[in-house]
This record gives sequence, structure tokens and C-alpha cells, in this order.
Amino acid sequence: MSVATAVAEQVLNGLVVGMVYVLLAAGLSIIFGVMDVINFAHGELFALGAYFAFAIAGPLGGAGFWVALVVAPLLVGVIGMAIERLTVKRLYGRDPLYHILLTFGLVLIINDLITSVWGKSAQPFPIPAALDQPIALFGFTYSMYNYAIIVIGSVLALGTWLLLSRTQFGMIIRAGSEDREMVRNLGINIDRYYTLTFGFGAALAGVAGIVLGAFQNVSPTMGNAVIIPAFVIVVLGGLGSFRGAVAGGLFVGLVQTLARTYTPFLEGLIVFLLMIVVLVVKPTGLFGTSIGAGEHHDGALLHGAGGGVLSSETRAKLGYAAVGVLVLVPFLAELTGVTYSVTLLEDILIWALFALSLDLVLGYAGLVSLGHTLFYGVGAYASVLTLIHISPSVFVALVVAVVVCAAIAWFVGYLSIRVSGVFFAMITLGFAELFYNAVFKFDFTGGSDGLFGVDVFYGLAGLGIDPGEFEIPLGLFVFDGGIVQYYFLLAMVVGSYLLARRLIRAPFGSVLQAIRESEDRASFIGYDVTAYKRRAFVVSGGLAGLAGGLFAANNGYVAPSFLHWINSGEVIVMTVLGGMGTLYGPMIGAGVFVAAEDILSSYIDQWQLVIGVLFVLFVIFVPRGLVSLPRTVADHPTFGSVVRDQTSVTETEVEQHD
Amino acid sequence: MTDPLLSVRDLVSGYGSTRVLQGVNLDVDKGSVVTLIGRNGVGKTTTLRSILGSVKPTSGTVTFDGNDITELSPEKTAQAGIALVPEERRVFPGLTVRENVEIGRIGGRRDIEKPSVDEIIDEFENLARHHESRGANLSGGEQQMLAIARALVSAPDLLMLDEPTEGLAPSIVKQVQRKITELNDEGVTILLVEQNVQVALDAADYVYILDKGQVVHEGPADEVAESEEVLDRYLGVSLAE
Amino acid sequence: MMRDENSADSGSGLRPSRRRFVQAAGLAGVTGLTGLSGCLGGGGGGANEITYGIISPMTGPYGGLAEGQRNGAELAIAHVNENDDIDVEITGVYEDTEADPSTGRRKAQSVVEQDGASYIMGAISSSVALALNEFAKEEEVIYNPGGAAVPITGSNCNEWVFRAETNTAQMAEAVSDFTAENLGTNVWFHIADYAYGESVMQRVEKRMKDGHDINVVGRSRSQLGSTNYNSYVSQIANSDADVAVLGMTGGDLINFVKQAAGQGLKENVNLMSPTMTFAVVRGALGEAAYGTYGGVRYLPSIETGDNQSFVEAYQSEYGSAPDNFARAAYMSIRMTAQGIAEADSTDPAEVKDVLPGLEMDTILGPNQFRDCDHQAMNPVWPGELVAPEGGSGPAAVELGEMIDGADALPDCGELGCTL
Repeated sequence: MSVATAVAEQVLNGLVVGMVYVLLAAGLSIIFGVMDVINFAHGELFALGAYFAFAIAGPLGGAGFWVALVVAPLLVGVIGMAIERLTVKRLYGRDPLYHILLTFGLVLIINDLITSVWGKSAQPFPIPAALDQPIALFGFTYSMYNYAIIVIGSVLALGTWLLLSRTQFGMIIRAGSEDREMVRNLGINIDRYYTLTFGFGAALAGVAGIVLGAFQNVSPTMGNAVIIPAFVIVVLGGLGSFRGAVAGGLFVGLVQTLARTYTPFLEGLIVFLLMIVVLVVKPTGLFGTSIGAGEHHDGALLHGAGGGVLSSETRAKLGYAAVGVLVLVPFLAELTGVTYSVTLLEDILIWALFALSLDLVLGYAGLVSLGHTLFYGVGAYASVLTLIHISPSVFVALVVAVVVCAAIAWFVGYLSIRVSGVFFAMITLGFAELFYNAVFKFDFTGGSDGLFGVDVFYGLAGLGIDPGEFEIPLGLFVFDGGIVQYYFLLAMVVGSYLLARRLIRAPFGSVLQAIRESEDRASFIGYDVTAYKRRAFVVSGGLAGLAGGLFAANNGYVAPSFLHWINSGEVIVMTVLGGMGTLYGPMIGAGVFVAAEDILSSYIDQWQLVIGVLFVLFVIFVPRGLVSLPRTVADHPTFGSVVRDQTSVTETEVEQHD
Repeated sequence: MTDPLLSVRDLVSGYGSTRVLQGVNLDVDKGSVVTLIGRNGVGKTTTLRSILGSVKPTSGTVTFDGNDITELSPEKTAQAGIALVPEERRVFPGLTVRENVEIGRIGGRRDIEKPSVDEIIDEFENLARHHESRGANLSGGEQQMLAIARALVSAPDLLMLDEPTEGLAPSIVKQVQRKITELNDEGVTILLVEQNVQVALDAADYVYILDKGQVVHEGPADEVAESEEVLDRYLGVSLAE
Repeated sequence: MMRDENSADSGSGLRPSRRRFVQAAGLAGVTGLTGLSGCLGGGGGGANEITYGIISPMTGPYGGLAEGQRNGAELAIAHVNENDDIDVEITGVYEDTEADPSTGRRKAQSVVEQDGASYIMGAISSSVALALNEFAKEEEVIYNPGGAAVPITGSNCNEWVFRAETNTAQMAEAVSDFTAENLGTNVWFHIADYAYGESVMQRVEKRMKDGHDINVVGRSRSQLGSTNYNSYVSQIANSDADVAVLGMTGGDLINFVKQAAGQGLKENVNLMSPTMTFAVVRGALGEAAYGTYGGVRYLPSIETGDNQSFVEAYQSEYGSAPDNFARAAYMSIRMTAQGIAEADSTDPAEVKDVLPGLEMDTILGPNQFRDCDHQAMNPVWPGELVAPEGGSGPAAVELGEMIDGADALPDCGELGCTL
């Protein structure tokens, strides 16, 4: 192949891959840029576009694709507007984290709806016959459809740009993205424009789904597969800049294509590496301005502190009681025969520790970490690798896990903590994805399978307990290795909680809270905000690593799934569900979430739908979490007075730590 | 005597649990220039924002042209004919001068005739020169003019100006002063919040002095300008002769 | 790369049995004391009663396949219960692994501890299956994997695992000779960069070289989950390859073949992939699959054993023809049940000794779980995908010559299992 051909082919490929990214990112960029809403459901809207097109084009045959290309996005646009009206609208002004959570719930709902209607298998969605011809150009043969993708993508980008810059509608939403309040002050009902904008963004997602559905395939997982890359492109290009999304998409497409040829090892990692590099060098993205995204919302992260109605003494007693119950559970389980409860409880304890670690940064320092599973997963891998190669002692393994994760947290924090809000969240996500993709590539991490069959020893240098051989009779009961495992885990988790609590009660904790309330003010008083945040992040990373290490040690394996982004999402859900900023809230949230999912998935096929609905309701109506419910009830005019009459409620000091 | 165009009675307002206004009373007659002055933090801006509806009043009433607008949202208040030129000017940085004015023209009252964008721009010399520049690229003074133009193009019945001379060079301050006088001559009713007492007293017909969220003194501008005692007690200033 | 390391050489014994944290000595017959006791329902009159836990990836990327798995299991359970010749009474409990090893493992724990299951079937992805392998060993329950990765009965084998699903090595046998003899000797290997892909490339290449003079003209690897294969297709087109062997499955395979067809690669290069004949793949590809080649583990049209009556029963119960995953689940349960009947005991510890090498009649004809690694000796076929009778829609498969169970399965030593 001649050099010219090779170059031409790289360029073409880069353009195709790039245009795919542009198609994916366009709709998301508009919605974020204009409305400051992070639409995590963008992937599912993308999938809906493809499925609607499949439904329309199927029966229509030949010209069906073209009809679908017009009709299906309109349908998706309408659905987008409905979503905005019913749910998103209620969250304006809130911190973007709540948009992520809300739309995360919507993902579950839409995904289950898709599978109920169209089933779980991939559907046939061919390229329209007119475009399904191979073309030989410049010495290589590609499908005409590849060129069509470039054309469609360009038309879409151009059309959107024209809409934004040359129409009155575009002008108003551009103004709204810069200063929403001022637009309202001028007498323009920007909310109505927002509904249309959301619909437009959704329709763009739909078009992308159709174009790509024909190029790839139409399946229920297609949404999940594109959402992270779409976000990365939007952030890398600069939040709020449509031009940035286009430039970013093409740029990443080209670099990724070159990487495939010259550094194939880096292939899955390129997207994230690029984003991290761009954000470190220019935190607002390639074309981002410092005005804009993240600055509009006056919303704070809604913590659950101050939500309880119990005095701190009562709460302390409850805490002891809870630990007491946890200690007795194995006995109760054996006597009642519900031994599974212990298994479930072990999983819950580990997630509780994980959620606790997140609360330190999310609930106290106000840092949204979208990639926290990085520490969980790395902790697990470090732990298993230590057990395999260095020492079977669980103590050694866990120490290694904590140290490694703390170090990584320090490094990630060093790079990214000066960046705020959404950008920080995306860098943490970027690192998590980097590691996730990386573990597939090495043998020592077990590649795509993971590492199995690891045994642990509860001791050091031969002195200690071997769970496999441990057995002590005591009266009516016989204790075996499982009990050592359980109590060790319980001790670690309770110990971590106490450690975290000590940290929060110390001046360190007060400073963190000050930072959460108002970063500027805290720095004006003279605190090195960045240093404090970084410290909190390091502790948090270490604890999350401990959680991962404990899981791996208890179960004897580790797999790439430990690093999958869905875990980051779930732990955020648990933290918010429980009530962030309380330490014990997220732990309760973990318990409720794990138990609920376990039970629901056993009884209902559409359990994702149920959880999604519950979650959406929760984010809208009880954003401060479960621990805030008592206060919400107590404050409610009717319910509250009933409760107050029954119990003696002591005055709670609002900022009381627990 | 005709009713005032704008009437504020016992207005209590604030942010969250913080009360800023403790019961403000003021009237603005049609065609007049009324000014609201006072030290920093007494609630001048909060008053304007409460009138507009960006801040929801806790209690009290705001009546405009005979209608109770206390509970109205900012959009609705603007659509009733009140235009605010806010404290930080807040021109749209990414939009051009032309677009800023255009968007002002879309807003405001829906049922009246408004001047064209070109007409308004021509009234402001330095804007006409830069009409394709982006908001972010204008100087402080040009931005101030743009903010006023943007408010004017919607032909408001009441123009509220929040500290229009803040941060501007003395020569520009004079330009702004001249503009205010021009506008009033053309019949625009103006409610002016000003930190700069001299500018305020020169421009206004009637003065309200605000302290700790309440009106502590009011009167015709020339009388207040003469009264050293009032100026000293409530504002801590003495005016140059 | 397949991980050849087995468990950690920690010197310690078995992992702790997680069911028993605190054994209430002397409290026999308490519910929740699970299958290890084996004394529930054993002995005395009446059928051997067992509970089978079926845990499938109902949510996630394998959802479509999992449905077949669950249905096949359900049907098998019904048939076994009806069948007087097999004196076993099965209660099925069904759970969702969510395609995640931790969830899968917890669900397995749940069926063992809550439902009293002593037999488990399920999983499709190899990391979930491996997790369940370990679980079965620790809990001493019998496990039938639904995944095809070789290590499951290879380097990670253990005596509690019995696999009725056809594994990657057997599929390599199915296609290698056929490819070398019919599709060309200049071979390009393209795989998805993960364990399965490597496994296919390794095995097919080795088998093809065995007795044939083939020439590997190139290799390429794509990221698992890639959606754009144009450049790889181009590379293959520009080489001297007669045939491209594709080590990928699911969405990756669908995307590749679709794009390759779009670029006209099929005209010049034969495309072969061991999983090309999967119903989901054929369904999603439609016309693009015509003229490609693959290995066949199972097709409803196969005339072996009692397949036709299986197909009929499945069709009338579920309204569609069974796929490979339904077949594997059905076989798993029926074969294991026959072992239970033969042992006349529900205790997995006893059944696991009786089952290996036990000859029985199955959907795929006379068969057994091989002694040395407990892998079922399934026959396999090469197949060509052609346009179906209507002219459009999912490709139909023309079967090549059947390769006998015994011939299809390499020696245990080769596969890494030492039981």
C-alpha cells in the first residue's frame, strides 16, 4: 500500500470515527451547555432512536430507513420533552450531581422498557441498500455508508450550528446558557425554551442512534456502550461549547485511529488519556470558557445532616445496639436457619465501607467522584496479587491495598483537585476507565477473566488462623472459619467508621465542611483548600481500597467487573440515598440498596424498572436521603404533630456531628 | 393626585433565613426619577430584586400600575413593563451587541410597539461603532450603555437601574448621568439605586434613604442635598459644594 | 491470555465453608442446612428430591442468550419430573446474575442457603462461570456451567463441575479441518483482545497446522467492544488471505461481519468464526451473513438423539425454536439428573463420583461427561451460512460433516485439567 493510500485511509477512518463521536456528543453538549443538565439518559435516547427506526423501517422495507431517519428522531424528541417536563424541570438550580442521579434512574427505566418491547437480543438493522455498496477510492475499499456517515455528521453539526447562531431560538438559548437569570429578568420564559432544547438534544441523540445502528447493531446495551465516550468528548471539547464537541470529537477520532495503527496497546485508553491530559492542561476543555457550566446553579450538594429527630445520645445508643445486633447475627442466623442473611450482610458491610469512603469526599468536602470504583477495584487487585505473589496473610494484603490506593488517590488528587465540579468528576471517571481497560491487557491481572482461587490466612508468618481448618466447639455451637471472616470484616468496617468519625470531629472535619459550604470563604479565611481536599481524597481512596481488598479476600477472587463504572454509579446512589454528610447515612443507604436489589431481582424480572422509578422519585422528593426523612416527617404540619405527641423530641443542633 | 406608578408597602424580604428588608415603603410617580440610597448592605439591591421577583418577598405588597405584582416571577414582572439594569450589568458575554439588544426587544411587554434594534443602537454612540463586538469584549462603560440599551428597547414603563456608575471612570460616569437625564426628559420613569450620592441627588426628583432594611428618611432631592445633618447621619458623607 | 495459574499456593486448605459460620451442634434438620447433609429426602421411599438453582445473566449483554438458558432449564426440570425412568424430583429456583461475578456468586449462595439447592446451573460469561466454579468447590455442590471458555473444565477444573456446553476447544476442532481443506490455506486471524479471542486463535491455528500446510499471513487484534472495524477489514483485503478466522462473538462479531460485508470483503476472502452460526448473530446480520462460515454446536434441525422431540416440546412451550443455550441448559439438567438416579442419592458428593463416564442418551446422541475433566463429549459440525428459503431474513445453516464427540475433544492434558 502506498504511503498516500495509507495516509488517506487513516484520514478517512479518523473522520468516520470522529464523526461518530460528534454524532454522539452533539445532543449531550447542547443539553449540558444550554441547560446545565447532565443527561445520563442520553445513551438510552440514542438507543430509542435506533429501536424506533428499526420498528419503522422493518415493515416499510426499502425506503424505510429514510422515513425512519426523519420520524424516529421526532419521536425521541417528544419523549425528551416529556422527560424534561416531568422530571428534569424539577431539578433546575440543583447541583449537577442530582441531574446525573435522576437521569441514571431514567436509564434503568428506559432500558427495561426497551427490553420489554423489543426483547433482549440484537435486532437486524441493515444499511439502506442504496448506500450499501463498496467504493474503491484512493486505493482502498470502504462502504459508501462510511462516507455517508461523514456527510450526515457534517450536515448535523452544521445545521445545529446554524440553529444556534442564526436563529432567534438559538440566540435565546445561547443567552440562557450564559446567564439564565438575566434572560428571565428580561421577561423571556426560558423554561419553555428549555423543554424544546431538551427535545432537540434528544432528537439529535436519536439521529445518532439510527445512523450508528445501521453501521453497528441495535441491541439493548448500545446505550450503555456510548454514554461514557459521549461524556468524555463533551467535557474534553469544553462544556457548553458545541464547537468544542465537534472539534473534540474529530480530534479524538483522529488520534484514536492513529493509535490503533501505531500504538495498538493504547487503543481503549486513548479517549480517557486525552481527556485527562486536556483537562489537566486546560481545565475547562478545549473550547470551554470559564463563564458557563457549573457556575449557574446555586444548588449545593444536599447533605442529610440535621435531618434526624433524635438526640445524639439516643443516636449513640442506637449505634451500639446496631453493632450489637451485627455481632449476634451469625448466631441468630444459625438458629433461625436464615444463613443467607449473613452472606448478604457481608456484601452490605463491604458496600457500606465503600459508601463511607465516598461520603468523606462527597458529603464532607463536596467533591463529586464519578470514578470511585477505581480505588475499590485497585484495592481488590492489589490485595489478590499480594496474596498470590507475596504473602497469604490477609493483613499484609489489606495494608498493601490501602497504601496503593492512597498513593493513587494522592496522584489523581494532585492532578485534578484544583479543577472543580464536573471537571473533577470527569477526571476521576477517566482514571477509573483507564484502569478498567488496562486490566484486560495484562496477564498478571488475569486479563478479561480475572484471578481466581485465592486463599487467605488470618495471621502473619505462620501465626494465626487458617479459616479452612479453623474449628472450635463452644457449648452448643461450633465455630468455623467463616466466623473469623465475618468478625474480621465487621471489625474492619466498624473500625473504619470510627476512624472516619474521629477525622470529621477533628478540626480537619470542620474545615472540610466549611469548604463544602463555601470554598471561597474558606480560602479567604486562610485555609489551603486544595490541600485539605487532597487529604480527604487520600483517606477516602484508602478506605475504598480497603473495601475492595476485603471483598477480594473474603471471596477469593477479583475480576475486571470490580472496576466497571456502574459500581461508581451505584455507590453514589447509595451515598445519596442514605444521606450524605452523615457518615452513617451512606452506610444505611448501602444496606437498603443492596438488600432491595437482591430481593427485587429475585422476584421481578423488570426489577431495573422498579428501582429506576423509586430512584427518580427519591431524587426529586427526598434528595437529602433516608436519614433526613424523620425531620421531613416531623416538620410536616399534620404528620409531624402526631409524631411529636408520641415521642419526646429533643432539640437537635443543626450542625451536630455524629 | 394620580396614583404612583410603583408602590411598595411594608416589604419584608431576604435570602433563606436572613432577613434583609424589614418593611420598606416607597412610591415612584410616573415620569419621575426616584433614587434609593444608603450605605453598603442596607438592602438597596434586594429591594429592586424583590420588586422584580427574583427574590420572593416574605410579606408586603408591590403594586405596579394598579396591579399587585408582589408574587409575580421575574418574567411576568418584566412582561408587565418593568426593566432592570442589574448591578453587574450582566450583558451576555458571548452574544454581540446587536444580539444583546435583540434579546432585550423580545422580552418585556408583548403588546406594545417597541423601537427597532437599530434605532436604539443609534442612540448610543459607542455602541453603534461596535455593534458586532461580543459583550465580553466591551469596556465597562460600553457594557453599562449596552445594558441600558437592552432594557430600553423593550419600551418599559419603569426602568430600574442598580448602581449604574459603579466601577466606571469619571468621564463615563458623566455619560451615564447624561443618559439618565435624557431618558427622563423623554418621559421614562426611573428608579435609581446608587452608591454615589452626588450622582443620585443630581439625577433624582425624590430620594429615599435606606438603613438596616428600612426607609429612614425621604424627601425631595434638593432638600436632602441641602441637609448636611441627614447626609452625615445616614450616609456618613458630606457633599462637595 | 488464559491464566494458567490455579489457586494460590498458600498452603492452606479449603476456603471456609461460608454456609456454616456457627454450627449448632446437635441441631439437625434445621432448615437452611443445605445439601451437604444430603439427608433431606434421601433414603426411604419416594423419589430423590433436589433443588436446582438456575442462575442466568438475565440483565446485561447476554440477556437474549440467558432467556434460552432459563427456558431450557425449566423444560428439562419439567421433563425429568414427568419421566418415570429417572427417579428424580426437581424443584427449580431461578435467579439473575446480572452478568456480574459478585452478583452471580451471591445469588448462588442465596439458592444454596435460602432455597436449599445442592445443584446449580448457569452463567454464560467466563468470569462469572469461574466464580461459580470456585463456589461449587467450596460449597460442595454440583455446578453445570453455561459458558464455553476452556479453563472452566481446563486449568480451573474441579470435581464438582460438569459441563454440557460445548467448549472453545471442541469448536476449534469443528472448524479447523474444514477451513483448511475448503476455505483456503492463507489464513488471517482477527480476534477481539480478550481471553476468548486468544483461545480461538491459539487452538484453531494449532489444529489447522496439524496435518495441513497453512500459511498465517497476518494477525490483528481489536479492542473488546469496538464498533469500528474498517481498518482491519482493509488490512485483510490488502493481504493475500484466502480466509479470515474471527475470534470474537456477540456484538463484536456482528459489527465486524456487517462492516466487512459493506466493504466487499466477502467477495474475496472467506469469513469464518466458530460462533457465526449463533441464532443471535444470524438474526442480527441478516443478509450480511450469507456466504460466511462457522462452527455449529447446536441447531434445531439436527437429527441426533432425541433432539426433534426436544425441539417440538420447546416450540410448543415457548413459541420459538430452542437455541444452543437452551439446549445446553436442558442437557445439563437431564444428564445430571440421570447421574442422581444412577447413584440413587441426592448427595452431590456421591453423584460427582458416579457421573463421570456415565453413558447416557442425550439430545446430541449417546454422550457422557468425560472422566478426566467432566466435559460432555458433544459432537460438532462445521457449517455454511446461506440465504434461507424466503430469500431474506436470518441466514440458514448448511451442515457439513459431523465430527464425533470423541474426535472433537482434545486430551485432558492438552486442556490443562488434572483431576
